[in-house]
Amino acid sequence: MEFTNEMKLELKAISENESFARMVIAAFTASLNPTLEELGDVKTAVSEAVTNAIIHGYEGNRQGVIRMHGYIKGKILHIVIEDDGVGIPDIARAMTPLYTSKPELERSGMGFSFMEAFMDELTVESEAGAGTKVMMKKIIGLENKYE
Amino acid sequence: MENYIVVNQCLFVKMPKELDHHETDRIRSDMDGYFITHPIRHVAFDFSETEFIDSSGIGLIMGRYEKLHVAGGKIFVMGVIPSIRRVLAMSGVTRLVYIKESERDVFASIQ
Repeated sequence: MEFTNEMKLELKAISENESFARMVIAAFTASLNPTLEELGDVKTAVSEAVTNAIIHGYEGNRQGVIRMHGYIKGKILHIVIEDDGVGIPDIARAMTPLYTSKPELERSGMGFSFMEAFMDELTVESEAGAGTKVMMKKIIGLENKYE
Repeated sequence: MENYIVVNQCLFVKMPKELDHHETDRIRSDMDGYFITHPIRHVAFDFSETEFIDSSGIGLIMGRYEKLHVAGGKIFVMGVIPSIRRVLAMSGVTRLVYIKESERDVFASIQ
C-alpha cells in the first residue's frame, strides 16, 4: 500500500526541540482523526525517543542531528527516530523497566517502557558507535481498529 | 508569576504546561537552590496547569522522593487531570506520592 502521507524532519539535539518534535507529530497525526488520548500517547512516545537521542545518543553534544520520519499507511502511523550518536551496547538492558545508565541525572529509566506502552509496536536497532534507530507503529482510530 | 513558595517547610512548585526533559532540568536546579537556602521537609507539585508529562517528569518526582523520604518527608501532587494521572499510575509513582486536590488538603496532612 502506498503512503497516504509522509514527513521528514531534522532537528538539532537540544532539549528545546523536544516540544517542537511533539508539536510536529501531533499536527502530522491530526489527519487520522485521533482521539485526545491517542494524540497524547504519540506525543509521549516521540518525546521519549527524542529525549533519549539528546541525553544518551549525543550525551548533551548540541551539534548532533536527530531525524524524525513519519508516514501513514491506512490507519497506521509509523514513526522512525534516528540519531548518529554513541549507540546502545546492550539494547535488552536499556529496555528493562527502571534501568537507567544515568541515575545521577534522576532519570526514571522508563523511556522505552513508555514507548512500548503508548504505541502498538516498538523496534530498536542500535550498536555501540553506530547510532540508534527507534521504529514505532500505532493504529489510530481505536474504535474502528478491527473494521 | 511566583513558581516556588515555601510554607511550613513545604516547597510548593508550580509545574509548567508541558513537563519534559527540558523543563525538568530547569526545575531541578531551581529546587536544589531552595533546598540550600531553606529548611525543606516536604514538596508539593502543583499540576493544575500541566497538560503533558513524560518519563523525565516521572524521574524528577522519583528523584525528589529519594531525597526527602529518608528524613520522613512527603511528596504531594496536586491538581492532576486524568491524562496526567494515567501516566503517573502507569509509572508506579502514585505509590510514592500523595495525590491531593488543593493546597488546603496538603496543609491538612503536614500540620
